[in-house]
Amino acid sequence: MLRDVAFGQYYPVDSYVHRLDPRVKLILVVLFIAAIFLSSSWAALGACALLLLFGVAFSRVAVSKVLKSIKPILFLIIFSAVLNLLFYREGTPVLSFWIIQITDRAIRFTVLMAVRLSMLIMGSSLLTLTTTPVALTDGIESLLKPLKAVRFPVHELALIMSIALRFIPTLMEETDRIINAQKARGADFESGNIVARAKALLPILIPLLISAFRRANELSDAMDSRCYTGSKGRTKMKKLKVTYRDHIALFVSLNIMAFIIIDKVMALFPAI
Amino acid sequence: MEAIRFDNVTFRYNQTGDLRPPEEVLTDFGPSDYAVRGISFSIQKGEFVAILGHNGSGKSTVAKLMNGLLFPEKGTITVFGMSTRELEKLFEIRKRVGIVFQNPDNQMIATIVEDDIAFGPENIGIEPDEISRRVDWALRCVGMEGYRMASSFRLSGGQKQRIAIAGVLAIQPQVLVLDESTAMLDPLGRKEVLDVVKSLNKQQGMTVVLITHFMEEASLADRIIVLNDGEKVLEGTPRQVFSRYDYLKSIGLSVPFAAKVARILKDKGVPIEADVLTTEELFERICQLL
Amino acid sequence: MSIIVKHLSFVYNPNTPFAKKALNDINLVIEDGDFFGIIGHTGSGKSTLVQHFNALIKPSRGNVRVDGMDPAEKGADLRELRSNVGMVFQYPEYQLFAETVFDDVAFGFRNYYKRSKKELKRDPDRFKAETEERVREAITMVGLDYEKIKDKSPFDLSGGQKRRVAIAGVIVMRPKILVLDEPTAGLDPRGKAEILRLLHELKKNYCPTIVMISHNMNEIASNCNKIAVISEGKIICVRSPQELFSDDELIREKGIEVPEAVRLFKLLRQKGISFDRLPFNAEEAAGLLFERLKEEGKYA
Repeated sequence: MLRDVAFGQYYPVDSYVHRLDPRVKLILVVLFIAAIFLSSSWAALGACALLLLFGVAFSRVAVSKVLKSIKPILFLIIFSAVLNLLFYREGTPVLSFWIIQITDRAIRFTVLMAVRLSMLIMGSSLLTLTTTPVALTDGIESLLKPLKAVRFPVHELALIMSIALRFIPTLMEETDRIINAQKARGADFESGNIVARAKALLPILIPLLISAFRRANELSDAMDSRCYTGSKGRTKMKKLKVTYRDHIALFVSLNIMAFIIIDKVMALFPAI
Repeated sequence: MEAIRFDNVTFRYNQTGDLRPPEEVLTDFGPSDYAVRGISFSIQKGEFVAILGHNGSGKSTVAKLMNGLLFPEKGTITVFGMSTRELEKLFEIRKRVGIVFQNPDNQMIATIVEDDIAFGPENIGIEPDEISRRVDWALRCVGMEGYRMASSFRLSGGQKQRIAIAGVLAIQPQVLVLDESTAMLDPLGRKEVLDVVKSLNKQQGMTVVLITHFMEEASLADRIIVLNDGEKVLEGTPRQVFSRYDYLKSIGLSVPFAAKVARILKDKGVPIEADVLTTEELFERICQLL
Repeated sequence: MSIIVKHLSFVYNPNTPFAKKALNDINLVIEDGDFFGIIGHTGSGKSTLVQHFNALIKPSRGNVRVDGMDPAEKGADLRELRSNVGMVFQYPEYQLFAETVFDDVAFGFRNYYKRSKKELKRDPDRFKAETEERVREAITMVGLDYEKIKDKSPFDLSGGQKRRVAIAGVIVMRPKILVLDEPTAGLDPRGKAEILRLLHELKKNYCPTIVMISHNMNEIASNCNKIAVISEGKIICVRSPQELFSDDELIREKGIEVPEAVRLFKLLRQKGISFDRLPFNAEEAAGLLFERLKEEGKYA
């Protein structure tokens, strides 16, 4: 079923990583992504991998679950790998036939990019696997709080995100149902040219849109009924709190990242 | 003590340019401008009142008028002495009157159960520790203690609807309004929800307004108000209301099984009173005959 | 037209941690002329089973034969099959999409007609006339006024009317078998009665076989000639309503809900007042009771 692969699936266990402050996790993921793209030596990448490994080990999330997060973008990884392999022209050729030429640098670059992309996805899905959507949006809201000074609607944005996440499985299920119903009426989504196919989507998109509006209407009534009036005077059940856990995690991660930066600087200025 | 009072309330959707739900506009009986016309009634604290009517009779509109989601065009609605027209009182009114809606999927804000239940208390500014206690308490009230960390989309319809009730209870309202909250559930889910509602009313003295088109559900109430095309047409105890079989049928409703059987027998000349509600009661009366 | 299901099993998400066995070795025969009821708790596999009937889902194991044809076989004409087995999903009004009732109802027919595109090009007027005839037929069949309703937007109709239009959008393909998942869900008593009356009319004049999933035991018992009980992906039994609701042991064991009329007559039987058959609704129950009273020489 579609909803089982829905984005943002929380893995409900209690672990070190689960208990980290969502703001810390968000910052770590952003830094992690930066580190991945800073890493150009195998040692640096190894350090990133080590960080990821720590994360997975202390999260008690099944390793298969983390690995599976790559699946949706596997095609993208392979596609870009093929392009890199074929069109990266620097370095010495190791393989050439017909008009195709593959260089040693191309292989290195291809593997590097594939590893980077995979780690990026795994790292960010570790975040969504160990953080409930509400904690995540609370974290974002809290991190963006300074923007409130310039009248940026931080709370509203966070709420919108949380609701969007909540409705993904519902709308996916609904899409499934509508597709089946229209197929049963002989709808054909596979044949014809692009225009015909786009037109064939209308019987799915229109009911879906109408239903989304209906749901939005009902949801707003339900929120009004539950005394929602915006962020003013609002409290939070879960107060975000940075604890010793967060300090340790930050300390370890920052050390590894420092190594990566030093590694990069050394590469840039080999003379040092 | 009077919880909710409707005085000659009239409402139509196009007055403010609202999106009119088509069900309320074009009934099978022809279009009518007004969703609600000149309705008056009063609900006492601790009472269990059912509002019965066919689809498009205006019963959902009545629910939304009760806590100021909609405002009357004419007449007044008073909730614990406060008029829903006074905008500054609206927050206080909504704290006292909670509504559970029809589709359980469309009233949950958060994916994780505890986050969803906490939404209401967070809105009214309760302290974090107290919210957490209220979440526990609300889950106990609806018999879902073990589900605090569950994902909402893994629950059954009946369970989702019980979480929706818990989400309203956590605000600790005085009145619980259920706007066709069982219409989309299977018999099992319906029973789960009704059991919760009954126990809230009996054990905790919660005032309940149950809006439904299921006759068997309405017969659980102390009092039934019947709506037809936006007007109040009948009001009384379930026994009084369900003895009007012919009239109810003429406005697209029905009566519980037992009342219907007794009615048919009575029409054929059998000396049996038609004011029965449950199958057990009917059984007793038939045993006396045979 | 019959449906024969043999050793049908179905697994959702096979070979993944989410793998879930939805159907387990189902054997079933739905004969021409049946008003076939399927009951079972939510999640028992009822909806999964019926979606096999027009190949919206393909079996993991076993097969389904519709009119002798196996839709899972290579080269099977799915469009032909789907026009023969009309499928009305739960809350079918949520699939309405076109600007007018006419276009929405015509959708299925136009899709079906695509097969003979050449023919269409040769004679577009005939296609137009034929479409109109079929749409008129379908709309009239579901008890709506064709002239009054055809140009309206389907979104301006009442709940009951929308559902009828949605059903018309399926029967426009002239199915021989009509499958409905909870056709009366969410309707008020009058709406429910009208839809059931409509189904009987359709069955009499239009499509001879009807399969209906429902949670409403009164509805299933008073309308179907056969009832299949599904529990946890397995068929427990297929019986006539009389047989099914007489089997006290099965009802207790499987926690099957019984119609109120049956409950009343079981109470009477415990008191020693027994009847040779069970009623399934108030009218039947009152009829049987009145006969008995008359026989006993009381009040008549």
